[in-house]
Amino acid sequence: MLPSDHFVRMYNEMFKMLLEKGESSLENYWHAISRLQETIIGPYIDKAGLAGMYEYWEHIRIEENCDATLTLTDDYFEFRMNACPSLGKVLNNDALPCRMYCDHCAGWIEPIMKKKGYYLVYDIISREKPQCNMRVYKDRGKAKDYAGRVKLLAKSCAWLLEA
Amino acid sequence: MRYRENGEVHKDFHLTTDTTIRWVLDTYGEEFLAELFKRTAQNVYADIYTHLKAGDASELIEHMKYFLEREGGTFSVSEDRERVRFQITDCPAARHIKQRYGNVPESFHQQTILMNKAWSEDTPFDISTDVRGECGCVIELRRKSDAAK
Repeated sequence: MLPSDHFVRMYNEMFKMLLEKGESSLENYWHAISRLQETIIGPYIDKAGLAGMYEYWEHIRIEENCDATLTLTDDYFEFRMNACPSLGKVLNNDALPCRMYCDHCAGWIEPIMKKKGYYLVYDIISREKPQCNMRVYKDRGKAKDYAGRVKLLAKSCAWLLEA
Repeated sequence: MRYRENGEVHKDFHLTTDTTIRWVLDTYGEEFLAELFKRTAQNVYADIYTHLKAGDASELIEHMKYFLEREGGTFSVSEDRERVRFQITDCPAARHIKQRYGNVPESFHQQTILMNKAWSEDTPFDISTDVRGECGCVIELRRKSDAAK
């Protein structure tokens, strides 16, 4: 049994192997993970929109031992990761981190939000520090405005800045 | 032990492991899956693997006991001069899959089979995995000279 605590270190190995085949292989895998995650988070969003996201990620904050701050406004839901246990474990690892490790969150979340009619802005901030910030907006214009002001926008959200 | 986690346990990661195994088998096949768990066993768990290569299975045994207990598995361990035997009657990972999907795909057990195989490679140990039903298995560690008897 791979302990659930250690899934992310296997995940990191998976990312490195897929990157050897090209970024599109990695993105295809994130889409497969996204389809699984949609079965879990989808009902929360369908039931309560941004408030449903707050409820889901509050459960994640506790269960995944995240040091995170959650905010809900009329415009967006925000999950600010002060200390990410996922990247933390990947950095505390005898194997090397994947250079695109942090992109996986936006990689699986963005397709779900797009399908549900929301706009994800994922600020990776830094690939070396286990901190990031995620906002999900109802309004595309407000999402685009925020996306233009973040430090390191995840590639999956870059389309927001186009057009 | 290199990685001693504490706090809450997010068992849905077992769902993600299951999705990963099935996606890899469908997309890239058995060889890719074997390489993934080989890298996990030998590179991520480098400390366990280094000890095994040096003839010391204690790190692996401690790791298995710790995480089976932490996730609430039902198992017993018996040791004698020739072998260490884990009899797992309720694997917490498989149990979580069964609770979610109603059954456990055979491929889910590949994570255990392939990591044990990778930990056996170029070490003095033969680590076998005998899957017993959806949520059980027997894992035996023997020294290769004993396994040959």
